[in-house]
Amino acid sequence: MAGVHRNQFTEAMKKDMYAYFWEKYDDTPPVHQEIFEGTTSDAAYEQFTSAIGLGELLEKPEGEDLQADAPMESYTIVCKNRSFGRLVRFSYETVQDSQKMGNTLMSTVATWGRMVPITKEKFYAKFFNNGALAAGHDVFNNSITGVVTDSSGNLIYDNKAFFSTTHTSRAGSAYSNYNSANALSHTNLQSTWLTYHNTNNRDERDEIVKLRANVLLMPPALKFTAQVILNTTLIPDSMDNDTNVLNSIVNPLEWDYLTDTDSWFLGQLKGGLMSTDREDVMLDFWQDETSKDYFASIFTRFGGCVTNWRHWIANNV
Amino acid sequence: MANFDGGFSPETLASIPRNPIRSVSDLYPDRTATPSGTDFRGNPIFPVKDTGTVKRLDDQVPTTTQDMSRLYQWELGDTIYGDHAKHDKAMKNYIADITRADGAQEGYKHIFIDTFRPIGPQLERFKVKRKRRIVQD
Repeated sequence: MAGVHRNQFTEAMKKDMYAYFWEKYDDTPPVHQEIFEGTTSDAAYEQFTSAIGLGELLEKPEGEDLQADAPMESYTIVCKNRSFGRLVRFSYETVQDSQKMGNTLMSTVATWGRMVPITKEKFYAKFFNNGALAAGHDVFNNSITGVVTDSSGNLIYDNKAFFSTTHTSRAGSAYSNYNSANALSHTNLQSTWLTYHNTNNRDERDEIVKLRANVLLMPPALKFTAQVILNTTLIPDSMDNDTNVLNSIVNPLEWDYLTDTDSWFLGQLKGGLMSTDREDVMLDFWQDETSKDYFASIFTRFGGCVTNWRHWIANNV
Repeated sequence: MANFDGGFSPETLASIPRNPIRSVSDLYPDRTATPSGTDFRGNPIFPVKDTGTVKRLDDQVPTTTQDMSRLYQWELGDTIYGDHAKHDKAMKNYIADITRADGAQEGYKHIFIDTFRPIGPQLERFKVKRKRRIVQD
């Protein structure tokens, strides 16, 4: 058949789209990749139960029986893959009359190349921006209607907000990883550090576990406050000659997408937060039969969930 | 779309109103019924509804053609026809995932993960098993 078939045209355009897309894709590693543990996913969702195991061993007196122990069931965690996409419509006339269809397409797709990393950053920042809401937020809801049910709804696996003062372990003890009023200062960082390593370092059985904070996550507005606390050898704003015990104790990490300008988070990179990557970006270009208009679409699937609240403490949110 | 009814689940069919299209305004349910004026050719202009309270971009305004290719209205059991469905790999994967996951939640119960350690490597072990099971099926 002579001439260019429509299918060849759309396929050629699709190839060009990927070239435009990756050319404009932001190469700077996004912050969420450092904070969330990235895992690949090959299903609509991931689901597992956090292991709780058995208790400590007991000394067996001579001539007596071993004491029995029973495993406890812990919390179920669901992590669904969400779909993100966008569609843009070019009228048939625009495409046919345009001598430079590539230009029109390039400007559209190049924008997507810039926006995909931003979309992800905004999505993952919601875990921190909305983590302290007592009623929870949709970002924590991992239900897929008719397919998988997340029994904790808009809250995290233990039916509390991600940052809450009333987390309860399976053994029944109450814990807190949230201070609603606790501005970033030398004293407050010290007390939060101790809560993290001395109080919250317990598993669901209230047994001691090894937790080590290594990052101070904050909005850019707190950059200089954090540097004064973490980068001086002597205690800042003090007449005494005492050593600054917080010098380089954690790394400051700025995140532009944190909306609260005075909130800060003490935590562990890639700890307690999981991101799933189901499908990389897919671009499509096709013609609609009824209107003859052309459509370009972008589609990608990823998700995220909280797997353990103990790795993070929120302050001044 | 001659065999339009054949590919949809009973739930979807029940939710589709069976109103015959009598006038132009039926085709564009998001437009006002009475024209606000005429354009330079003398054709009536039907403004988009709800623009006062909800801002919608041009590509979000539903039209008849766009309704057919809407991505997120697909339901389990529906069959999709047409050029777009055949070629769109992303849509295929999405549908395959949901179909495979339907009713599988019970099976995930006995996956135990230590959440104080990296989760990815622990999940990988179960994924290998899951794949083997699919091959066996």
